[in-house]
Amino acid sequence: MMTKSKGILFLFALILVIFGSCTDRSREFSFEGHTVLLDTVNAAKDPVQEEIIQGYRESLEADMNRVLVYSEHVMERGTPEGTLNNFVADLVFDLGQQIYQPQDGKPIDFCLLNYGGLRVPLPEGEITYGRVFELLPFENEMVVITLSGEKTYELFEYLASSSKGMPVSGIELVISDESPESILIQGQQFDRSRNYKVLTSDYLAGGGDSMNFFLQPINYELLGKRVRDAIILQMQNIHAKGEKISAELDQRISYSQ
Amino acid sequence: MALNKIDRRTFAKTSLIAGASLGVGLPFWAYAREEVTHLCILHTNDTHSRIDPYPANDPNYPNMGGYARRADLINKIRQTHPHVLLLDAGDIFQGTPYFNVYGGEPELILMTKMGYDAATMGNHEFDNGLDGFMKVLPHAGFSFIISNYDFSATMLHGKTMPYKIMEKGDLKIGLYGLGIELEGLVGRNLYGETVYIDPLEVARKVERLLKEEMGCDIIICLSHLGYEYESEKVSDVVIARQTRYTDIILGGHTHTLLDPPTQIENAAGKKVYIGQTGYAGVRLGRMDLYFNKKSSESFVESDTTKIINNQA
Repeated sequence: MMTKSKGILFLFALILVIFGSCTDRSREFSFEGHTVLLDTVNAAKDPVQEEIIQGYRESLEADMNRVLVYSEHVMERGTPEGTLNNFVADLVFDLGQQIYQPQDGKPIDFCLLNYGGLRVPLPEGEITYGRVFELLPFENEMVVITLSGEKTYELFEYLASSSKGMPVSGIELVISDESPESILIQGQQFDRSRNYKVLTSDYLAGGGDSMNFFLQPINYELLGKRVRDAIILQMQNIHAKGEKISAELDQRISYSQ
Repeated sequence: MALNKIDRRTFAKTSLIAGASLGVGLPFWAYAREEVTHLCILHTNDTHSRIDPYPANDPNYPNMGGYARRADLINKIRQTHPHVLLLDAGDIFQGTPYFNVYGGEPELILMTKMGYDAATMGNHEFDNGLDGFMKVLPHAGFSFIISNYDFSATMLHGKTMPYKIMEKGDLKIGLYGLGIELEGLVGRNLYGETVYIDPLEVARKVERLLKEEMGCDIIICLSHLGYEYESEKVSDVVIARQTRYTDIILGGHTHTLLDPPTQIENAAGKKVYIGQTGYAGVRLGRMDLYFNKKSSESFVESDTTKIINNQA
């Protein structure tokens, strides 16, 4: 049995709880804020962190010097095509086809990357992990863009008038007077009445390098793999099979005679 | 003279003067107060695997940033401040070969050593898929707080927290986290069955829970939504304007440098402070909050130079 005083106390506590929960019980505060630049004046290097980092750093350097694969010859970017253009575009296209799971059942038709994205040539012989990071330093993601026939034609007009050879795979383009003279996609004549699926990078898909035909596409599908990681994976597979990498010029983009 | 070096009584006086100079009167009990509780919030965002400082020949940030410098500054601050909260607003991962090779392991180990209390998830935390995140998560001795991603149909179920309550001194601090819409930003195969829930709706629910049911003194939102967009897209500014109890938003994603933090009026007419520290961990964000022992009108001392000149 609750005594009277306990009852009053209980009631008082209950009122406090109810009152408290119904009002804004904010603790007011005064505020000051800024950011501090982590330069050599404001901060030294914490030795505990530095020691942990050193372990990773040494191992990373070793990793970067690790040979991924061997190359049969030097590969360089070129215009209208280059061995490096073809090598990178073919490997990226091949991996994209392997991992793409289309909701409409239709495969990717071709691949387009950019000349400016290939930062260094690949040497003959040892190709290290670090070299591939130098070749493809950007964190570009692979995307599949569905374009209308009209937009796809704009893409070929872009390629035909470009002063640089864009890495492509899955097409044959003959250029005449900075215009497309003939276009084959997967060996078939280009058909303006149908849509095409293009594998590219999110950078270009966003209109990078003035590839405006990619803007407002019919469909935009991220593959969840970076371009560089695709190349690394492909190189690892080639190396595991005991093979070397190579690429040829095959007139995939050419000028009309 | 650094504010933290002023004894508490002196601070009470200087803040009264500052308050008066801003034309904001203080209620009588503020005069009777014995001391204040000082909460020091340190925050980072979009550190992007920048474990080493930028190289000496970097045109923008030569020798700046890096985890070891960040830890040094944090350690110095901790030496003089008992109530430090150390928080990150996401995109810890991706940006240097460290991430490509180690998948985020060193970042989480080093942040744990620094004593991070919590982080939210940025879109780049999904870069190696849910399994990639899971693989390195055991290295994090701090919580990932994310309120608007539903992981219940994924392997991350139960591995993150929808909110967290922490106590520092006499303060009860409520933390929640908001993540950006993943569709179109992250490959579907990477985020899998993660369900994104409208951040504003979630923010309103969680802040109400933290304030009205849990009785938190202050509510902090860790956000990877981005500071502000020209479009209607939800952002930190939108969250600030349309919530009632959130006091502080520590943001990321847009790599915005807010120095000093911005102030936005919320749906209840109160101030919300938004901080973001730019990119790559070149800066550490710092907020100093002084709470009265008893509730009183708030005021803001706008002159931050004292602390800026004494950065640690």
